[in-house]
Amino acid sequence: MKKIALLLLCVAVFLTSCASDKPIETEIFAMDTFMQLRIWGESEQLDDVTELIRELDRKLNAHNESSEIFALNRDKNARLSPLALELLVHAVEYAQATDGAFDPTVFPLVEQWQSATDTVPNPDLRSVGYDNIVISSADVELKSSSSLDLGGIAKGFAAQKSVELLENTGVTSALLSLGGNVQTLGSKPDGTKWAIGIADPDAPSEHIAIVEFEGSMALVTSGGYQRYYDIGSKRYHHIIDPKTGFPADNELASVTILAKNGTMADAYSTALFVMGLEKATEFWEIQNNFEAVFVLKDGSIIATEGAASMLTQCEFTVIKR
Amino acid sequence: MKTKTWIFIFSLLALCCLVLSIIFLHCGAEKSTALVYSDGALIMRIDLSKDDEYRIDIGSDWNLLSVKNGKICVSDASCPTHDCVSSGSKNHGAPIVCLPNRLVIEFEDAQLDAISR
Repeated sequence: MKKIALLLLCVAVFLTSCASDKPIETEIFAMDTFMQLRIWGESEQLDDVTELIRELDRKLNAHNESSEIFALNRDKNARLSPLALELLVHAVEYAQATDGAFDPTVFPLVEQWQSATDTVPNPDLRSVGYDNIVISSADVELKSSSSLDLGGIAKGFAAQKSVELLENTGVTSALLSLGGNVQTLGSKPDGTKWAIGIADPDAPSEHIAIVEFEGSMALVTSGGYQRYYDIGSKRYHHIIDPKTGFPADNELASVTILAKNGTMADAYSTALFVMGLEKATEFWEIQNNFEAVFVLKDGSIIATEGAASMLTQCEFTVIKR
Repeated sequence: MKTKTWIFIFSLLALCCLVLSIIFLHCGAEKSTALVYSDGALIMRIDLSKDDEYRIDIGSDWNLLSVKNGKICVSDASCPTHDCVSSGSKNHGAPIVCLPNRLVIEFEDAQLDAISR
């Protein structure tokens, strides 16, 4: 009888602890998108992350007249805050690494495409090029009338900084989805693997594959289905190739980057989408800090060998080094 | 009281905890429910098994939600882009989002933690 009582007590205590180990969540609108933050921690920690994301939004939004980037674009020189400077340094680093396939100076091109209504713009590439960004300590100068748009990397940076903040305050499990930029911290407390879908380019609210894994990772997808410019009777996607000034046009429908660093994953997802499959594969072969899943326009899926081991519920071809 | 009585009471309490725990553990697994958020706050849980319409007013803006055949959609809205209306009818997967009106319709998805898109 005593043994049975003890056993029942142990089971009850275990299950009660499981039942109470629920995450806390919040949903916010920032960086022109919808974000879901789920942490296994305290509400104060969630508030801190929310405030960090809002602060980054205030500092980095090129369209916000009170932001640091708006001021830099207007005056062509500015002293940046540590957070904005950190992001810009990363942006230049990834622009160099990808030979300009990701380039934060595409802002004038983006504005040209955004404002076009009837006729396709004639892209003016004179002010495009990351080498126009001159960083000296905290002072930044933009040459050749360049302008910055850090939108292609800001959400990834926000996710990365949020995870670092949570980690520093003792949170061991979290799931952040900043407009579809997903980043996990630690393992799920219930012992199961994280299951993150990759959006189907033909039906973006559905998934075409699932990535299952344990631990911390960022998953960022860039695709030609996310935002559009409707010009005349034709629709153009929003990812501009900095070298041509036109929306990237190749066999890829989307690229998902799996990496430890969310900032890098965000920049590389854009860059590899612009590169196309062949160049993107070559780029992956010489790097060792990310994996990738390519969805082609014909619906087929190609995964790098590291990503392949985590992919489920889809058929795919594996690329090996 | 005798030791056996204490053991009996103790066991009964443990059994109650066990039953309650199982109930709590499974209460989140409810399906066919849409969660409606306005500016980040949960304002409504909608049972998708019943056809119905719901008008959500947010200041002077509004979204009209329609539930039919187990799915929900935004059938009309005051927003300029109507991206939420274009999202179609759904009962799972990525949320339906109306950015201008800050309205989100989410689904309790047991299979996925999130979708990278």
